[in-house]
Amino acid sequence: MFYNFNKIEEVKIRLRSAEGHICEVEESAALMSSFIRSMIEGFNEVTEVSLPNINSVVIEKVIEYMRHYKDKDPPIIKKPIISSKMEENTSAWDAGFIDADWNMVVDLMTAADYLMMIPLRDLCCAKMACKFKGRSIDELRAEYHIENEFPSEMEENLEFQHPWRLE
Amino acid sequence: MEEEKSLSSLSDSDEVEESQIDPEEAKDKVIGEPEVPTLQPRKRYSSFISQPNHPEVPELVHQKSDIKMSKKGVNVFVRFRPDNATEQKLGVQCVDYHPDQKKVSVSCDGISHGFNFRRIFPPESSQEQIFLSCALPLVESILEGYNCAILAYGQTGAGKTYSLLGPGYDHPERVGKCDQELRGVAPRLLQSIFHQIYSTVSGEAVYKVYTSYIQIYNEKIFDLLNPAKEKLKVYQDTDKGLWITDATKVPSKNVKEVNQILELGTKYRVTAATNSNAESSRSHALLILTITKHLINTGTYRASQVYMVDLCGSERISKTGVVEERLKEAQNINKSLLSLGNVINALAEKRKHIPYRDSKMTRLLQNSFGGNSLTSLLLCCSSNSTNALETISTLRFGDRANMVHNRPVINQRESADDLRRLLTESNVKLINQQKVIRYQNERIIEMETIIRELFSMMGSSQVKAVQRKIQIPLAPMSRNPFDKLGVNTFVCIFSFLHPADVLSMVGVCKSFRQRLKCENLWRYFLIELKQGRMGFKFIPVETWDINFDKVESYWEIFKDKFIKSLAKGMPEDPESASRGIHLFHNMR
Repeated sequence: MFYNFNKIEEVKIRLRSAEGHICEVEESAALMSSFIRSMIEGFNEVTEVSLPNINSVVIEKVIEYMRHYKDKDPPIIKKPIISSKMEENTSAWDAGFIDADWNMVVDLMTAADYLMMIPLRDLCCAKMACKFKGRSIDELRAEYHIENEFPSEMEENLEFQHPWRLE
Repeated sequence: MEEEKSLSSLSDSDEVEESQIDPEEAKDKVIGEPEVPTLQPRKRYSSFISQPNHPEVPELVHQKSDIKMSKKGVNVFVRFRPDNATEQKLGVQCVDYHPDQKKVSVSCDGISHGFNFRRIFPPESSQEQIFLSCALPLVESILEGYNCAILAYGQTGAGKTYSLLGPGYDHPERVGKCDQELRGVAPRLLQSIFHQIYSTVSGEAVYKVYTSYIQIYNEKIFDLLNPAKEKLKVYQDTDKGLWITDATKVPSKNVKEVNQILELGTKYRVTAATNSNAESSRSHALLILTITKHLINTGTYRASQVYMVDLCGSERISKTGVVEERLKEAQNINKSLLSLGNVINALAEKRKHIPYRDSKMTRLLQNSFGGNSLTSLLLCCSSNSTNALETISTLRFGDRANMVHNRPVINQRESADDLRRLLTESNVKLINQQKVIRYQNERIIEMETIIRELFSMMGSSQVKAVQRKIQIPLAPMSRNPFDKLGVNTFVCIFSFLHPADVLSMVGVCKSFRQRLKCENLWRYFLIELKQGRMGFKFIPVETWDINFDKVESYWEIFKDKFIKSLAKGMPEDPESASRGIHLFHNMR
């Protein structure tokens, strides 16, 4: 135990991605993830964490976020978001960090959820919420190629039940 | 299949019908065995054929056939007769027998014609051999309920009557007086049928046998058992099928009776022929045996008919040199044989229209060719070169008959009990299947939910790998990009939005609607609203009286309150209400 304790400072956590690629991150940064923390605390000898459902690009992105907020707390995003622009909701660094395409945001969100990094997940969710904010149903359907699953009859019914859909 | 069914039901069902007495059967009992005292209750149902070890059981050596009858087609056998004295002088043997007893070749004017049949009988074959091959395999099928037919076909004087009935059946004084060893196929078959009935019969089954004997002479049907009758008529009905009006149907209880009938009828047939001065049988004779089998326990009826047909000989008018009356007969005979040939041709070529109605004979034999009957056709030929042409035409007829396909079925009528039992069985099966289906459906829904969750945890590359491996297009995954997200992350996105926006997004698609009903989300919204951190402009959230301990569904409450507030607000100030709704999207 003492032996391990002495060594902990230098330990680098190796994260194995879905492709088998290994990314190294300092342990203090990695502890931000509750998932990695529980892995390390649960098994003392563990220095390698396999993440079979996260690809290496996303892992690099996650590590970037970990290193940035290694010594400080990430800013809390106010709910509900006040604007559809990310810069007005959170810090400039966060807004820049999350400024990626839709697939990347989704992957990052999934990874954050898996790694149990609440601030990162919230950041991603806020980003997604920005995309939804102020959009009508038809706009959303068109943008994300969602077909209208409700037959017209049902749509009327829905409008009767949910009058707020009327504009 | 049907056989199995009835057998199993036979062993399963109890003696329910003990108390019911069929008047018809009671009558039969009186007719059949008045002297037998009814010791056991079962015996009440005894028909005239019901008692094992009946004194009439013919003593039969165990017979075994070496041939398996084809049930699909017409089984064709060929018998060659030995030459007579004139033929021995004039001609030579023109038939080559193949050792496998199936192939034969006939040479005519230097050309050899090969034929293939089920079995070839050379001239030295005995009557018993013919019977064992042609008729014995049919006995079991007859008693199972299949229709059967045995036909003798061939040139005149080729031994048809000899093979089918036996020697002496062409002379009134010698009918039925031949040596037992030389009996033909028909008497032997009758004996076998009765032997089989008597040796298998028990209290559970009642057999009845009826005999009819008719002839077709000059395209007219006559009853050989009641010569006084006018010509009979044939009717066809979709329900009843084919039947002959007024034909005598004699109930027979043993082989002696049938043999007597056979002898009586043959005598009349021969006498009629002799009166008109014919040397050979000039008419087609049909012995029809109707056998019904009634299984007492299940009430199942089975019926089968056996046709034993002695066709008259085909002849060439130039060769026999007949005139006037004989000529007319010959023309009729040839006409009916020709129409039989046409029927066979049409069947062999699988034509749509089969000319059964061309002659009386083909109409009566409709069942034997192309119908539901097991048919064995015995071709009788001469092996002498003087008759080579006729032999070849006879064999060609048999060759075409080989190609006819029949569909034998058991003639069975289920009783009400049978049908009720079948209904119950199938109902039970149906219910069980429905149970299984419901269970499976539940499982499928469960598994789908699990799979969706699993996929939401996995990365896209892994999902693709799985798709490649199991070769199943996971279409719903790719169609809606939000299905990829787990429920928690999905709900988390919407927690960043105002409840009014979220409410409007419920209608995007089904999965949105399903997931957005998440209770945590609406609970969170309600708490936020109560604490005044967010609000609706036109709805006084503060007045909502919600006891959080007793709430069953936050989503329902939210929806309910929201609509109520809207409805309350609208009549007072419709403009503001409409503005209010409009404002939901432009709140900030």
